[in-house]
Amino acid sequence: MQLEVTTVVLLLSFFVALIMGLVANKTNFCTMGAVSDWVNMGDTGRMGAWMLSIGIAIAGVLLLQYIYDIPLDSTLPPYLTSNFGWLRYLLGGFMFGVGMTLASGCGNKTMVNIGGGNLKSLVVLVVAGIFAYLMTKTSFYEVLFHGWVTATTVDLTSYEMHSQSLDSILLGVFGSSNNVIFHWLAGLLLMGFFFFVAFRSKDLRSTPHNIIGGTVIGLAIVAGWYITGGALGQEAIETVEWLDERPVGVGVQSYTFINPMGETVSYLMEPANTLLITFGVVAVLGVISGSFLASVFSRRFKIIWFYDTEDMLKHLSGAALMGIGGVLGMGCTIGQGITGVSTLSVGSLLVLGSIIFGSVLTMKIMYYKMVYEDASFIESLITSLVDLKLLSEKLRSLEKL
Amino acid sequence: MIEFQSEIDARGLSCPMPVMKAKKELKLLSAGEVLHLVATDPASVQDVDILLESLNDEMIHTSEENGEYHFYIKKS
Repeated sequence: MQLEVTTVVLLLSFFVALIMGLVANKTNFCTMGAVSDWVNMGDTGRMGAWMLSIGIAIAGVLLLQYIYDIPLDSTLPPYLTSNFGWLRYLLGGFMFGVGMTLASGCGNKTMVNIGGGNLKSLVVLVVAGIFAYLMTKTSFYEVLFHGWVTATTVDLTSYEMHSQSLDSILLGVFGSSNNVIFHWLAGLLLMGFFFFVAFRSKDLRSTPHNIIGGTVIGLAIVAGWYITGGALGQEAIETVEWLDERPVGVGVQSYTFINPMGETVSYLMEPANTLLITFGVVAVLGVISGSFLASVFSRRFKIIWFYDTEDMLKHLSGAALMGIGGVLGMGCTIGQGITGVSTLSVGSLLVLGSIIFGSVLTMKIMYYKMVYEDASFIESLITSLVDLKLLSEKLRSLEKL
Repeated sequence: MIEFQSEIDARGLSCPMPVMKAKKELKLLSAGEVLHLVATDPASVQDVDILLESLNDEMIHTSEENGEYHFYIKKS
């Protein structure tokens, strides 16, 4: 039996996602946990693992481009589009950062949790998936977002920048014509920055599991680009162009988890329609399967449900913000934070910063609200912003923790 | 039976809530006093380790029973 090339791409993508889920479960790789460790305990081990995975992904993509000339100017989603929607990146990233903190994990961690038996995360997947579906398949985005997103989007081609990659923007600023040198320079600089931040952390250097987690996740992102953008992926794209009934979502891409949650909801609405099985759907299923295997083999599989109504509402509101913010910002902590940044997209860097800011702010507010039970949300918010040096110390109304 | 002066029931709560509650409670304890933390989130095992490292407090006993993690933490 000979498998169709599109099926081979999906099977390989599933296998890589399965490894991601297995390793993320075993090493506790978690981007929200990384922010929590950093903010609540001053530990940068998991943050270092995240930064390491970004550095590895950038290095891998530079090599892939050099060897296989992978076309990053036409990816799914279009990380390097010349339409620079700075406000959607900032707001989408912020919403996602708030959401993942309320929902106890980013998109990838939600899958990992489901594989470990956490039914709260299953509810988060369904709710975030429904909102991602609303954003991508209905007029929800058109009504609420399209107007102001279009009005605030900058067309970079009018500034002689062909895309929003860091090198393209540097070329536009410095007016140089040697784009190959600028591409490598920008890539190596960004890669060096993330490696420096990662290995500056003693907490990372002293924890092999964090180094393994960051390395494997980074390599998985590179593998995703190779599978979909290398020879096999290109053959799949060309094959699909000749089909009367084309499968959805075939293109150059790597791992991301919010839009795929919407794609999974879409597929589950028509399970007989195999054309709806996308790279994203197999990514979701792969990470859940890998985490499930790790949980069962380590005897840590455990059914977990909501503690109380407040816990449920917190997760539901977080899931809604993840679904909306993840689509608005065109990705999550993995999708924009690693996959997007690996293309040297400046928009992805903006989203990454906004996600971290949203998560840090939410965590600080939650902690102030917990310690000062009578404090209002506004007092906690203002005090948290003072802590982050975004407001004057004079406005502090709660004692610093 | 380990004696403790304070107890937090974080069963059913997910990361980062158990560790945030423990951090808050440990700040209120005096040196030598013991906090008993009960959690069900598997991630709390690593989270509590990291918390203790950052606060220099001491884990005097841990156990797992029926999917519940019990941590006895001595304030330094």
